[in-house]
Order: sequence, then C-alpha cells, then structure tokens
Amino acid sequence: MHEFFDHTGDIGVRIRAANPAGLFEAGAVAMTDVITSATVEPRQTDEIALCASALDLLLVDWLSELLYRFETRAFLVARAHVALAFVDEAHHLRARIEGEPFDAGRHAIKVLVKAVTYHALEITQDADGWTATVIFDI
Amino acid sequence: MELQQIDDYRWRIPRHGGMLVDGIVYADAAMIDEIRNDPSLQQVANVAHLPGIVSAALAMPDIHWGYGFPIGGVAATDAEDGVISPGGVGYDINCGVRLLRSDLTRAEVTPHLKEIVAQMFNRVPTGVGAHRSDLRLSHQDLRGVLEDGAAWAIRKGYGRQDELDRIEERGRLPGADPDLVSERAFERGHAQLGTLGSGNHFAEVQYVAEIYDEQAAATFGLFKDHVTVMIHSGSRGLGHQVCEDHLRVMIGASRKYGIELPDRQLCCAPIASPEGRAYLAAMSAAANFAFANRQVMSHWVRESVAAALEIAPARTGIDIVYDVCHNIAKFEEFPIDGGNGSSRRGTRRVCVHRKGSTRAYPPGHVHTPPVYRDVGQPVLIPGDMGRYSYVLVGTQRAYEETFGSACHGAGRRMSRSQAKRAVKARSVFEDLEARGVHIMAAGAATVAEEMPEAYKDVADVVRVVHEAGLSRRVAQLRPIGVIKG
Repeated sequence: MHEFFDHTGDIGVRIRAANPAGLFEAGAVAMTDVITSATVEPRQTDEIALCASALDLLLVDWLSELLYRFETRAFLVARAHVALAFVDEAHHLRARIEGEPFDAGRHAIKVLVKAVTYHALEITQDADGWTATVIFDI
Repeated sequence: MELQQIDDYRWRIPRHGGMLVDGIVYADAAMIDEIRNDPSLQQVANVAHLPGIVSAALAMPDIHWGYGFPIGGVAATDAEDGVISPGGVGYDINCGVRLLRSDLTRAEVTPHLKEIVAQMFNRVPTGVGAHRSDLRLSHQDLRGVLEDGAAWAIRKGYGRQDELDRIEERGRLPGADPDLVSERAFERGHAQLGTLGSGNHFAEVQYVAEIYDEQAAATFGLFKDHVTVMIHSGSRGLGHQVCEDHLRVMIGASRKYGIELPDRQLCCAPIASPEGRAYLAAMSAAANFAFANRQVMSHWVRESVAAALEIAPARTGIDIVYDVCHNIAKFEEFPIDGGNGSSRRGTRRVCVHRKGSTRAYPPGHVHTPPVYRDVGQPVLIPGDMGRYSYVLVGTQRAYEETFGSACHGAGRRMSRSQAKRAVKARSVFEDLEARGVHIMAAGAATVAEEMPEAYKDVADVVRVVHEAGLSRRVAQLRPIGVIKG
C-alpha cells in the first residue's frame, strides 16, 4: 500500500509492506498511481533484472526503470512480482511486471514524472513491517 | 534554524555545523515568516556544505522546498578547488524561458486569439509521447543537437542565424560531449525535440501591460499593448536521464573523495575529477538539447501566429527578446573582494549552480549581448498563468553580490494535492476564461495543479528582487492565451 504526502513542488510517496520485496511491488503500483488515475490492466508481461549496492538505491533504480519504460515504450504497470536477493555484496532484483500500453483515451494523466529523486529517500523497518519514502520530481 | 536579518531584504543563516560558508536568503519580512519553518532553509544550509563553495549559499525570494538544493538556490564553487553537484542543476537541465516580442498589437490579435492558441496547440506537441512526425531525429542528428544546441536548429531551418545573439551563451554550452550521454538518454530524447513537456511548462501568448523602464523596454523591442509569447521548457527526458545517470556516479564519487553531505541528492565530485568532468560534458550536451528545443518551438510559434492571422511569418515581427537558463551550472568570472568587473584583474572563475535562478548580467559586461550592452541583460520571470509575468534587467549589484543571479519565477505556495483540493469542483479552465485567458491543455489535472492560486504572487518576488537591487523592473506581461502539457 502507499500514500502520498505533500512536497511543495513535487510529490512524495510513503510505501508500506510486510517485507522489502513487497515495498518494491507496492512502489510499482504507486508509480502508476502518480501518473494516471485510470485502472491499468495486466494484459502483457515483461521481466526486469537489476542490481545495486544498497536497497534504497535499488528502489530508485527500479522506479526509474519503470519510468524509462513508460517514457520510451509507453508501458504502464498494473502490478509487479518481485524477488530480492543479497549476493556478493549487492542487492539483486528480479521482477515480472504486468501492465498494458498507455492509451490516451482510457488512461487519464494525472502528472508526468521527470525522475525519482534521492532526496529524503529512506527505507526503514519497525514492528509493523517495512516503510519506504520516495520523492518524485514533477 | 537561526536567521539574522542583515537589512530589509537579506537574511543570514550563520555558518554552523559542517557549513563552510553562511547562507543568505533574499526575502522581505512577510516572505521570511512564510518560509521560516520550511525545509528550504535547511536546504540552503545543506548547500553551504559543498566543498569549494565561495562567498555564501544564496537563495532568491522565490525559494521553496526542492530536492537537494532549494528551488531558487545559487551556489558558486571555485573552478579549481570546488565541486560540481548535479543536484544544483536538477533533472530538467537548462530548463529555461524564452521571450518572443512581436509587431502585433493586442487589438489586432484578440479577434484571432482562439485560432492562434489552437494553431500553437496543434503545432507544438504537448503531453505524453507527443511529437511531430516531421521531426524525428536520427542518432547522428541528435549528436548534432547535443554538440551545437540552437545553432543546429537554425542550420535545419528553424530560425535565423542572428537569433543566436539573443540567447544566453548564444544557445550552445562549450565542452558538450555526446559520447558521455547514455544510450537511454538518446532513446528518451530522439522524439522529444520541439516538445513542451508537462508540469509547469507552457507556451503563453501575452501582451505588454505595463512599462516601468521606457529605454530598456524599447531596447528589448517591447512596447505597450504589443503581443509577446513566452516559452518555458527544458531538456525533456534526455536531460532527466543525464541527471539520473550521473547522480548515481556522483553518489559513489562523493564517497570516493571523502565528501560528507547532509543530503544524498547534493552528491558531487571535484570539478577536475573524471566524474566531475564527465558530468559537465554530459550536462552541457543536455543544455544544448534544451536550447535547440526552445529554438524549434519558437519557430513553430511564429508559424502558428502567422497561420492564424493569415500573414507571412516575417510580418508578425516575432523575434527573440532573450532566452535564459534557470537550471544550469556554468563557469563564469566575478569580481571577488572589490575587484573591477570589467577587468580580468581581481576576478575569480567559479562554477555557478543556478537551481531555479536566472542570470542577471549588468550593462557593459562582455557576456551581456551586444544589442543590450547599454541597458543590461533581460531577465525573464514567468508568473502563474492567470496573473502576469515580468521582464527585468540585470544590474551591477547582482554581478557583485549574487554571482550575477536573480529569481526565476513565482515559487509555489501550495503543493499539488493542496491545489487540487482547493480547486474541487470549479473549473480552472472557466476561471481562466473569465480572467480573459484562453487555455488549451493535454491534461486537465495538470491545469488544476498549476492554477494561479497555487503560486505566490510573482509581483512580490519581483518587488524584492527590484528593491534589493538584483535586477530592475522593465515591463509586465499579462497572459491571454496558454498551451500546456
């Protein structure tokens, strides 16, 4: 699950999940929720593999990858299935994304995201689970 | 955050903790009350941690919460010993403003306004994935854009050679290296030249409502009740990708060079380091894309107005007043410790980061365009789409005090969700029509978020800049037609 919080010029999102993989899955849904108010159907699938030196950097890479796919292939994500592993001092992500091509007639645009920032970027864990904070540049 | 009042328009954040210099904020007392508890002041203090920062971390009166740098932030780092920080430029590299003047009066244009706006909306792509099929660049074309900026567009027939005289840096930053721009950035950029983008970007038909300085206005080609067009856009997805690619490198570089910073978004590397040089070369390439982007769009705007009025494009008298960058890092020279600006003696070469700030050079400076050398460089300050924008002119004081920098816009007052809540059921489109502004936009949600009330009154920002002596008011422009993404 995710909720938006106010940032003067941009958009902040707080993502909560039971485990880190869940944060990445909810993050993908949040990203789509920033871009469009419409329901996105899981008509097509694709695979993504990424790795980074830290979990929060991997989250930025993951969301940036989805943004890049939206901008260059007009692909909107409906949901994602994510597996994470820590191997050889690096965090690895393997994901299957499900979604559909952007259709201007059906997918009303809320706002276009320029980038996923590192400002106030944070992943924390407490008794209730995991929380990530990300600010999108609009 | 401790804040000391220096005079009516300047406030100091005294150096503390890891700050290397003070922070100085330009604002009046009422503005300071509004921003006192805002994270943007902490961001000014954070910027003061950048190694090699010279004089002070500065903020203009349109300061608001950004990511890394505050929006409205200025930082000059020593060209030899300092760092370059991509966060001091932002994702939209060389986001900027271009103002076009015309020979057309408001009375001549008003009966055709809807047609002009419709022509602009049809010719200048806005919104998701929009681009013109007649301008799709090959890899080689895009390399040319990245190397030559506005000059590339002019070579391809989008404008005249002499227009380069009225663009900051003549529309081309030196040192651009397309080989340091990633394949992904190329991919994002190849269909985006000549596109407006979304968010706060716009192209706006305006008229000159007020003249404050007859001589400067006449020199800029601005006359009361004449029509102008303002374009606000940047380097689009290509620039965003360049920033993203190099930020990741800089996060590692900061660690490598032992630079400790309070916000990862400020990550940086010494200007002379391989990482610093690579970013500067890629940033310059993205900046050149933005110059070419505004050049192509202004050509289409001229065609749009001509088509709507059924006259030849040359008969519109549409010409560039000026084109400024407000998200950029550039090497510039300034008098330090009382040196004389016109002489190389007593100057210091610095890398000026302007994150939401406009260059504001004085009369007589070698980089003030020759056509404007007697009055100073035009400073273009867009406001919100319901009220007004301003043209100012740079001053010696800005040159000596703020590394030749002034504000860049109104600054947001409301977050996007606050704006949407404030709008509720009423239509921003109808409100704007009632104010005499005709708007066409690709997305209704964007228009709601960009409603006039979401912004501070740009007149307040401009008044502080004028009173503080960083620029002088020349003219006020009022909108009558807008296209948005």
